[in-house]
Amino acid sequence: MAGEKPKKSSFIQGQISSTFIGDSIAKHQTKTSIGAHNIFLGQVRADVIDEKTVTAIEYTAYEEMAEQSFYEIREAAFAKYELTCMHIYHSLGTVKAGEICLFVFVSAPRRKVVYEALEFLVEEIKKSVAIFGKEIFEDESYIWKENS
Amino acid sequence: MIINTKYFGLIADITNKKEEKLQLDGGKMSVASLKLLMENNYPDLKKTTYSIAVNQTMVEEETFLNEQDIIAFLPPFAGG
Repeated sequence: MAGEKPKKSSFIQGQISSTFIGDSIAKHQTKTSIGAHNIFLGQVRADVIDEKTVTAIEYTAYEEMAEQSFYEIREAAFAKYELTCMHIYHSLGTVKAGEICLFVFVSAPRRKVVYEALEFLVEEIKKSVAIFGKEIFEDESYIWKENS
Repeated sequence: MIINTKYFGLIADITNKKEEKLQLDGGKMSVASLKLLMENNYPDLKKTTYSIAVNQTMVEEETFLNEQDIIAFLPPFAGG
């Protein structure tokens, strides 16, 4: 694979920590053409289903295909909106209720475009990336989550 | 023709494996025929909704399979 730039993975094992999110924001201080950032954080909800409470979601993915989908979604967003940069991170493995499992970060010179671009990205990720979630209850039983 | 199948999420629960290699007899086979064959092997598949990706691209039922294709059985997505 000489000469080929390694593709950056969008997956993170476990929860996405507030330190990671904070550091990502800090890294943009040198990019002074940016005037607006917008961030979406997906958090695991303790849903109650048939009187049982979700304690965690265990994420798996068809990783090769999902990385390709993230790449295509990113390219589509860059073509559609005037963005300076964009980052997408999604968890794999176990993420407990209350922890962050999705982090989408868009930056642009001006604010209006970041609202639209962020919504586009989050909706596309939910709709078209091959990620699967097992909702685990207190008694260790589980059901498979489905995006509505 | 030999194809490779991959199973994810609920589908892997039903097949009780993550992948397998299948030897298909006869001539051309469409995704629709493969689904029928698999639903015969794993009857619980009939109770679920799933999509098919061939070599990492989502396909319609009319698509024909080729030697060594990688066929993924994908339950509904749940990212985010």
